[in-house]
Amino acid sequence: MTVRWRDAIYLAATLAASVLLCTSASANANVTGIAKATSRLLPQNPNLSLRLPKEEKIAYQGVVSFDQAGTGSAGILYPAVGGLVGVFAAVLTHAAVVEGAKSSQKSKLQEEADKILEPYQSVLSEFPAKDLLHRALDKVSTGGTKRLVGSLEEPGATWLVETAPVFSLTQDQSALVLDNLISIYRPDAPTVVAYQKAVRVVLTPKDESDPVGYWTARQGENLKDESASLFAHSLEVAIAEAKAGPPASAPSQKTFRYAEGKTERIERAYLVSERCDRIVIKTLRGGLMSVPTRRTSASASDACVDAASVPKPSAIKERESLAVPTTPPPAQN
Amino acid sequence: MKFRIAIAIAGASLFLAGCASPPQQPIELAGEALATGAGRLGIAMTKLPKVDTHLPGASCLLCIAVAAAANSSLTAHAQTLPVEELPQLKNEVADLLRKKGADVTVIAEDLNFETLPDSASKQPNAPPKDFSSLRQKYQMGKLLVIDITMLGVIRTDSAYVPTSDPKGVLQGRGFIVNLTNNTYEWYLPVSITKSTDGKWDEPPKFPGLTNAYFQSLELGRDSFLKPFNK
Repeated sequence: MTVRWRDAIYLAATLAASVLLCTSASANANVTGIAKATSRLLPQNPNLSLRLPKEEKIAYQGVVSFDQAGTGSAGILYPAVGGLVGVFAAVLTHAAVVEGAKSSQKSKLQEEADKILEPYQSVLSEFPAKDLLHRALDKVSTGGTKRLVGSLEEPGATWLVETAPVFSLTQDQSALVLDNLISIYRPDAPTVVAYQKAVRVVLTPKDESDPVGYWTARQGENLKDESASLFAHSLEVAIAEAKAGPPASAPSQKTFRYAEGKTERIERAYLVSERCDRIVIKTLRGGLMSVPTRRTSASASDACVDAASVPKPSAIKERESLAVPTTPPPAQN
Repeated sequence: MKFRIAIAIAGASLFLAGCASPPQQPIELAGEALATGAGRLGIAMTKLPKVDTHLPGASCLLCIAVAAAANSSLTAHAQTLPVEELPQLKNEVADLLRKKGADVTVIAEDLNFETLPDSASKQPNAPPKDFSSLRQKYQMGKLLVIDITMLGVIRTDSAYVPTSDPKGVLQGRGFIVNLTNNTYEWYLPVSITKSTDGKWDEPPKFPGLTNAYFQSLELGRDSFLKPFNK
């Protein structure tokens, strides 16, 4: 075997190994939460059945940042043992070790972030999914009837809604963030997903000197109530879009800033609707986000102060009939 | 023989280490840096780099080729991303300085360090380039420079193996140089990396990484504006 052939085989093997290692197996799959294309799906006052999840326990975690994740770019020398096969094996081994280290690092970062929930474990252990959904359903105002159905129960001639909520508490403990994957099924096709959307709702931050005391007061009533409000609002945001269908004209992409706890966050998205201190935006992934905006003196009217937290159900309007505040909307970057 | 080779390598390492200059440390913005006593303050930016994918750590030629091939779809998308209002950053800084009463002029053309002579000074806080010729050219006493050196997506590698997920990136520096004595009076290194929220590998549009890029852009702008917003 000449040197030239050997180099070609080495290059091909290394390229193949790198493509194998570097590309995701999920390249062909849709990202979870991207809605299927929908026209106007839901009627004006849909009768809803909200499916109880199989898991009793609601998922809560700490908000985590992976900005500093990674194992650096230190150089490495591969041993020249065993010829091409040996080097190829060394590259694969290196890749496996690095992937393991990255995965372990991310798990550790999440574990560290989850420690923020330690003072709340007793409250969370007594907050089953059934309680959350009961509370939330009382807050949802979409017209039509609403009921809970068991995990194996038939929804009947109603629109079936399935959810997968995950709550995150900010590290400064001033706000909750809900990520809820919402799926809606037609009454005549209860096994085919007609609409699916990942909805994120960020609670307006609480300015409490004792956040643990606030959230755990009265057997965690504030935590449970705000969680239910977030859940209800996420349903209303998704249902509003499912009722309205896609916009008549494509909105332009903008960069939005909002408060997640006491930290300012940035999201590149399309504006869906805005009212007082809250906006609903569509992310680049197609999910929906409802976030608090920075309150300006111009928007600090009584109506906006009342709606400072997650909007109460009676204040939620469908997109077409959304009243534009008479005061200027909060400045957006 | 092996001992002599080891000595030669050690000697070469020491020689090269002696040649390396220490990195410039940050310098806080003091009121005197914006004083108009030394003349007008000019504000310039260097040419913005191309928005691209950066793969530090892929140190050998073959490593670079392999990393480039493996990230080709990401690079193709990164190169379509806009720089938004980043070119206006110098005007935004100028507006903030004018509110503080500074006499400011924005230099329209991009500043090119390659056209400046090297500085012979080894004093602390002396830039490697000699900016003093710009004093006569622009009729000003001090120059504020915004130099953005990296934009787009960064993914660290170790030889052939990626060691991080791709992230949005903006890197650069801001500094004020006194054109009379060619000395830094303010120096701010800026390095922003933002990870995606969730998965990153979403070809062809990579929405998560795109969002991380725009986050880096905004946070980078904030970093350059913050010292003048106080």
